[in-house]
Amino acid sequence: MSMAASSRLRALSKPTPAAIGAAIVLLLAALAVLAPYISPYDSESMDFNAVLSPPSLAHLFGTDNFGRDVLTRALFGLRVSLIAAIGSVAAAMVVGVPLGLLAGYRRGFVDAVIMRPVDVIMAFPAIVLVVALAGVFRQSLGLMTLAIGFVYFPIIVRVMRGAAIEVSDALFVEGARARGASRVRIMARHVLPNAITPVLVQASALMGVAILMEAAISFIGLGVQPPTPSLGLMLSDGRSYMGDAPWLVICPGLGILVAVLGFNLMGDGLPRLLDAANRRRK
Amino acid sequence: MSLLEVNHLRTEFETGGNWQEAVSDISFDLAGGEALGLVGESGCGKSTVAFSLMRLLPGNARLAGGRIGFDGKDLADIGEDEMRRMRGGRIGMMFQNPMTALDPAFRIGSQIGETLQTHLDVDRKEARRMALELLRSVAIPAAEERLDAYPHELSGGMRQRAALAIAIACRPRLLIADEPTTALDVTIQAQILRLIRTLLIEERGAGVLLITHDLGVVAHTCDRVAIMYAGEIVETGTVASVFANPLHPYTQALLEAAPNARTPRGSLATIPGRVPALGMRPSGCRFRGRCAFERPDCADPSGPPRVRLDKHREVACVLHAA
Amino acid sequence: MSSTPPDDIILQAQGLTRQFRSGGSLIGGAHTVTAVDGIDLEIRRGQIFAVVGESGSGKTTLGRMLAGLLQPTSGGVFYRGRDIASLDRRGRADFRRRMQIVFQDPYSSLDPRMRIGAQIREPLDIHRIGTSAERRKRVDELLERVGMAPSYANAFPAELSGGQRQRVGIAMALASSPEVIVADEPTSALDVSVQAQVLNLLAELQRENNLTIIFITHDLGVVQHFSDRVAVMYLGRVVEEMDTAPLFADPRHPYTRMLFSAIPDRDPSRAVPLQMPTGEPPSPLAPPPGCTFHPRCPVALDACSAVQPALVGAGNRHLTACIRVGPDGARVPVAAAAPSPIREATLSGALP
Repeated sequence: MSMAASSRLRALSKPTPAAIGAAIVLLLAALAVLAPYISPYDSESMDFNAVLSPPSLAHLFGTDNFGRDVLTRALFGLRVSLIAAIGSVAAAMVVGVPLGLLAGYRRGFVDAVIMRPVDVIMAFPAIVLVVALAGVFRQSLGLMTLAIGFVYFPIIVRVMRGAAIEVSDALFVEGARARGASRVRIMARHVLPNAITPVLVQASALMGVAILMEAAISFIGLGVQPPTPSLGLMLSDGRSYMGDAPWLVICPGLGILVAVLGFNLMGDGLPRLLDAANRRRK
Repeated sequence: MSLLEVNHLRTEFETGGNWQEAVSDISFDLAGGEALGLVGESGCGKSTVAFSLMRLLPGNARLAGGRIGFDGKDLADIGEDEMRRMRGGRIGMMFQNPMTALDPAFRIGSQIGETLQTHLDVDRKEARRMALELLRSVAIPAAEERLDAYPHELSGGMRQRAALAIAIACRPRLLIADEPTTALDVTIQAQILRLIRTLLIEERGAGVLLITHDLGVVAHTCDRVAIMYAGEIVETGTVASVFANPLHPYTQALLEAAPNARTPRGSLATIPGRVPALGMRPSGCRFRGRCAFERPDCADPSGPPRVRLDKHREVACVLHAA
Repeated sequence: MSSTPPDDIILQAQGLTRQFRSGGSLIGGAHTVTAVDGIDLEIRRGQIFAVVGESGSGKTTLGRMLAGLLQPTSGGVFYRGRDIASLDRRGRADFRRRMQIVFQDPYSSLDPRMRIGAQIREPLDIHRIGTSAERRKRVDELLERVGMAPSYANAFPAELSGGQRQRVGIAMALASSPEVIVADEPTSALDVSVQAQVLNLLAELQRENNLTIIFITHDLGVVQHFSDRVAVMYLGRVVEEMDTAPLFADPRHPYTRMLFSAIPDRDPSRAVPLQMPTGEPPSPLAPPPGCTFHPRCPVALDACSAVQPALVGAGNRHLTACIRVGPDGARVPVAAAAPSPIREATLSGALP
């Protein structure tokens, strides 16, 4: 629908917090993807002639104790962070959305079978669980991502279930049943599209948290291993030089801050953005 | 001597940065001891008239002109404090949802008592005694127990009776009731309408402005009727004359569209098109484009002539111009 | 059930009962509410059968059971003589295709995130009716049939008015060529001029397709204009059932009379009700013993609080559930426990 599309565009083009958030996320994603091409340095090559040099035109955010360009490493670190964030949330959604949908639409016994284990997982503090999982499967970005995803999926299940319960009570769902639609069809065509918005909002917020989590795990040495750059690892390494070379922590710290802010802003504005398509045409 | 005299009332709503007229140049009057029905379909502005009179318009609406004469004052002009004393005092109000008038956190008796204490010089004990009497007057059974009930413990019909008790607590001269029985079953509706007539009109000679979409309710309850369409009154007169001999094409269509036993199934009269949205109303007669009797002069931008036929009867239509 | 109904009876309810569990908090135990209590109905092919009642009468629950959307607690619904609870997979699919429902609320009965065309098409997709091109064509036809331009197929529900949405709801119901439509207050949310359009449309469609319509409503004006036969419900039971015109001419059950007298007549010369209704329907949580209407009944006898009257009638199929109404419609004379003269007078006054 051209009207709907254009109103969606209008909603996007207004400088709302959501649009700013989306722009930040897109920009960071572009930087992370293009990091090897835009950066003049290699993320792991050391230059002992320029150890701990302060910010300059050659090194915008200075160099670290091995003479590596901090900005370049931060860009590569951002890649790791975004992979962990998007990967973990995607994994959580792949598992959590169908389970939550099923629990919310079927309720009763099916609901209980799905929700009891979910409640058990949720009873553990997230960070402890991730640290434990990361400790077991250490030294792999992929496994760490899955570990974060495992902690997230109960959250996704819960949000999806709540929204699905609400939508399942709508008349149009009963109408679909009256027309003879199968359960799968009702869940996929009617309940899911009408219940997914809060899940996407939650997912967006979780991506922000995932970046913090990845940073925290790498910070304590259980995540990505050197020399692979990671924002958390950079903070951890830079910590010892903080008095003499604060730029070591400023750049990755800012990176984390901006990325988390971007995801959160985007999440807050998502419902309006998604509803723009369905707004009443006058 | 009129109790309420509304002259050239205009109310505007803000939509997308523009002020659009929702109610245009409405005038009517209401004497004590009579009920006037303000009738129309959704979007005609009838509720906006009610909220304008009570000065309870939402933030995106404003009174844009006109005079609301009541009790020797212009309600459009008096201060907010004075208006607040009017509401619930000299002017009683009822809404479709009785919970508009009832606070879920307080017992019925104390809510009525509070209204009484705000507007009349009575102490708590006296207020409670009067509240009990009021509940009895609106035919709430076991009134003494209901004094201490919370609103959620009452049925919809009982709540609306309690709302009526609050509306009439301070012996108002005027009751403004906006769809007071629309959410109720017909057997309850009949009882509430009867109460409104006996308690306000017959016993106290107060005036009632009844806003409704239901022509049957008007015929049942009102002495006079004003039919609204697209923000204007198109026809007004006594209930007997308007229902027996509707003059405006819209009034005619409305009466014929109501399901009845005389019309064969499938051939109810319909009105083509739909009510124009705010800001899309045609110039000239606003019923243009949907009217079966349209003529070229209906487009005259000065609008249709208001033809007065007798003391109460007026119709805004070129068909009836002399 | 083995008795075979006459051929023209398309839908039948036998002893249809539905209970709901209500309340059940930490402190108080759960109550059982009987929303529909042992209803027998026979609905003929091509009939417009109105179920009328006030809120809490159970009319919507009855409609949902007749449409097969709600399992009865006991009793059954028989479609063409077969219990719909015992249908096999194919039989159920066929029933779902032949029985459709139109809801009251045109705002929540359409999926807000699906285009109109896709929603109308859905029954065709579900039941695999026609090829893709044929389905598209059928959507256009259906839209035109309910008086809307085919271009609306691309619109979302939010872009439509209430009347247009209700037309779409009807088009959806028609898509699979049903035999029976349960219409639950289909015009209650609409303005009177829009209601007229929708009623006219339903009447035309009914005539064209010999549809059977079960019309659930609280609006007696609509009932009188639109239906062939009426069942009046009070607190989960049918208290009177009769063809529309004779029922309006000669209502026998005291509740029906009260209901009729409460209709605000648009003829102001007849605006004074013959008999002012009294009281409110009792809570379904604690229905009165005997005839559930007796606390409000102007002609109740002592026996009314003891005996639950059965729905009985004479040859003209005028069924009434009242011990004061005989099979011939005459009032049963009362020897003992005569009601007060005032009450008696009220009843006589209400007689035409």
